Amino acid sequence: MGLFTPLPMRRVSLFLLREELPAAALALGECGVFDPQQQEYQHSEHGGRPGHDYQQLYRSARVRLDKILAHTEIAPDFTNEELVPRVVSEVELRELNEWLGMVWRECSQCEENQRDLQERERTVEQLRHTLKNFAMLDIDLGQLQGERVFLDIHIGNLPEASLKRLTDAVSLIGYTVTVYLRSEQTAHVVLAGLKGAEEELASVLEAASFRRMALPEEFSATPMEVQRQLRERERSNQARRQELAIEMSKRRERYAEGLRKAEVTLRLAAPHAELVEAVSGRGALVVLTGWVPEDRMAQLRASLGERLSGGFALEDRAPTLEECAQVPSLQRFPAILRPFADLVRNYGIPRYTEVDPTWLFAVTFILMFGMMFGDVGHGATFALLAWWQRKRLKQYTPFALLAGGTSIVFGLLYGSLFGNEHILTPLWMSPLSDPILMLTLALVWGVGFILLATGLTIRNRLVDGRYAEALATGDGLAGLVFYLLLLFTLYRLAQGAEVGLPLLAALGAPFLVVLISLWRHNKAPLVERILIVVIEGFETVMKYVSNTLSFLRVAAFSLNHVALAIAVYTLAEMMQQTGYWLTLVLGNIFIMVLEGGIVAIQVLRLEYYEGFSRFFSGDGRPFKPVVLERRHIREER
Amino acid sequence: MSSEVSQYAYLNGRVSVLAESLLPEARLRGLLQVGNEASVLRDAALPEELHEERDPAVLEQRLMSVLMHEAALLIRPLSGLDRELLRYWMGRVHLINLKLLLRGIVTHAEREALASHLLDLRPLDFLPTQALLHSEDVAEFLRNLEQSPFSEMARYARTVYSERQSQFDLESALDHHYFTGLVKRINAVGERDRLRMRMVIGLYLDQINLVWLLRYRLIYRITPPHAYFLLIPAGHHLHSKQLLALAQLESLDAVVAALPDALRERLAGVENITQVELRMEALSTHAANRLLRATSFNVSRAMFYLLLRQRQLMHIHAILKGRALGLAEELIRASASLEEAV
Repeated sequence: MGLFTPLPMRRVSLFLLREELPAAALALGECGVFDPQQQEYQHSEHGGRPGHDYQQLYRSARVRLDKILAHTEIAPDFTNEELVPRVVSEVELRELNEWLGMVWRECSQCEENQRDLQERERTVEQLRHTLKNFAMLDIDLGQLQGERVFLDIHIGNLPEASLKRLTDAVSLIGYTVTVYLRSEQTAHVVLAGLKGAEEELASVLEAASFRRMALPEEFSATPMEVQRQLRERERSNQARRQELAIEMSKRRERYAEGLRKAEVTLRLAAPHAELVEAVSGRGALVVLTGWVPEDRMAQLRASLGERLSGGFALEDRAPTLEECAQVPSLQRFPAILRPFADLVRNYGIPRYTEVDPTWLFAVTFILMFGMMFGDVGHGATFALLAWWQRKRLKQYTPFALLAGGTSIVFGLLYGSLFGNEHILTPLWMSPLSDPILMLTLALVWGVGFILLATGLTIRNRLVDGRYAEALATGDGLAGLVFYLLLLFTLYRLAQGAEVGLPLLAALGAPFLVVLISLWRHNKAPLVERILIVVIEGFETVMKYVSNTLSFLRVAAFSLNHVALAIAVYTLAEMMQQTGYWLTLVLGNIFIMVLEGGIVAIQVLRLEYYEGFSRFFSGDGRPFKPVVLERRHIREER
Repeated sequence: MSSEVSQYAYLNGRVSVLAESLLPEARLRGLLQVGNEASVLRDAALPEELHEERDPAVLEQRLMSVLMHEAALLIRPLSGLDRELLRYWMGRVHLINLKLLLRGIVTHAEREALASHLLDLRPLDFLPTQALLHSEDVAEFLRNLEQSPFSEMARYARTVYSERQSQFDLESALDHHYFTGLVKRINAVGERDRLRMRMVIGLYLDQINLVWLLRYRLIYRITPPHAYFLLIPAGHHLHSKQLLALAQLESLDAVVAALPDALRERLAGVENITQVELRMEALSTHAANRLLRATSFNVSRAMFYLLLRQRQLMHIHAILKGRALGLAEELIRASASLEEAV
């Protein structure tokens, strides 16, 4: 247990007095090993769930503080020494929440002011843009707006080609056209005439594709004057922006200390708030339920004993089979396996009863990467780069070092140094010297991988008590037997041996079991049921075949690596001295970046789709203990 | 046509398969009888055990999830204007959450209780729900809404709210802006789809306009100009002129008598606004159903399917909820519009 399956857990029930709940929460938070289990709570005459109001206050205060911190861009700075464990009372939390509410209202008003300012700046920008169209019109723009008693004035643009005809046409009804700007085959014009011929004008304007332009209300002077007014508004906006910045800076100064203390208080209050859902019981006695790793029980008892003066009772037991889906899963890996664990968790969290595939993933990933990208030079470059960039790569450094290391090992086996196969003597052989052997080995590897994955599926299901699924399904024991017999049949056919009726009957038997299982599982109407069973049965066969063939890529990429290197060397040899070395360097960089990346993705794909999808449900619950967050906040951000 | 076939082949197949789950009214009525539920729900492509769900909120949520997953399925193969239109179309259900949130914020409701009433709109949820939920006033709510695909709507609502700080006007502004946006998007799609959509959505807007108008005038006693201002004059039968005239009338009978012939006949004898709503709904349902069955290889079918599916799920919800609450069959029939449907 531990490396191959999640750590054994105990279901813990902590009985204590209601008043002791905050102290217990603090003890559990300090201890950091208790993962609360949500409990149903029946509301009764005793009121709501114990701590419900506390939790609501905490959440409200937390949200407000986060919003304020985001607004003020303050990172509250405190040290672990300041986080002295103490119980935060509901009264204190309420006061803090109210204070944060007051601060947030101020910040919210500031955001509103900033938004208004942005809106005003945008308006000025839009007006400035619009004014460009009228800049050449040297008249009071206010005169072009609104209704007039005798004059009918329109301002707008039309295609340059229509200008002459429009000018002539409107002259028939007494209108004049004044062009004040020409741009991109468009003429910007002012049309003016006596009122009385609006209808005739409208039809001509429509025919001429005349587009009216609305003058903003602000344009009530000459363009130059409007320009000056806009500049004035812009200055006013800038002044306002500075004013807001000063306000913000003062606000930061005023509240920084309070916000820092608020952060500390909320961190201290967090364990109690997080535990509320795990509390049950009415009246004076309450029960806290949750999960604790078996090897941390003593630590928990000690921590509770230290904090709880009023006495408590702690009961623990192993989880029942029915509870297994609720049990959180926790593993502790050596540092070298942590990057692999991250990639596994990227797919899913192992169930409590399930085999954690991290170790299998780590071994197979590294091996397959080496097989597909075996080169001493490239591997060493990867490893050196990983070591050089270890501060940036952090916990992923071992991952890159291992990938580079296996690449070196397989490079020695293949005799490949930066793609050159004439410098090193292969300890085994160059992949291109016997591609068929490479493909065969890849197939054997794939078969082994699939057998292991299916074996793990069967094991996981048996542990879960899903015996029928473990034994009779396509990815259970029946499928496994069928797969082995299928391989044997294909092997005999490949050898030219006869496949007799007994072998075919033996092959059919497990397949029949799979079909029966599919039939029993489906509840659709008869025809649909038959169709589903036939298709899914066919899929079972195809899945085994295609998954096995999928592993050919392991050999294909090792061949590809050599082929790419040959291409680079051929190109280099066509060059002069400088060109030769330049091509070699660039070609090798190309191989390392492109092929290295593709190989990593392909290996991950094989692991996820050919491996994990078979045996790993990944629907477990991560172990999330209540923790008194002690870390220095500067480190977190 | 051939380009439409290739463009919409997958969507067409999907809609055709999904449309099989749209049950005729007579089949839906089977849910009223004990023992029939499982088979009716199975035919409607819903989990058979749904009728055992006693909590109406959970029931509603499960049905809504079905709708949102189907919508996501239909939106996935689309691109450009079609995709934008169908996503916007599903924005109707987001309006439910938006209004709930808004009411909760105005009434300072407890956040936990408010959150529990919100519909889970995954996988098509594009609202910043957490930020909206934790807004402390309308201004903050609208600021957060501006960070969502509803930013335009938020800006419009802000203008309305800054002029009249009324929740009613704010909600009306959200509705109005949504439907105006819908009409604008429909006008941007290809001609054939546009004509089909304008007909069905026009009938839907007729229903909305008429029901809103009656509520505003007869229940809320809003003045005719204000009531008219809140309508969306883009209906199929009811255009600006008719709506202006209707807004000035004082009773249900007078409004029905002043309707265009097609609607007057349909609404003859109605006694209340609910009946008006159900009969008007039946009109757009009938048109959507007809066009869904009679046309192929277009995006309108997906839109009509989603409209019909949502209505059917609402009717199923009404029946199951009514049964869970032990209501009389007559009442359930009325609430599920089984009497009024075409």
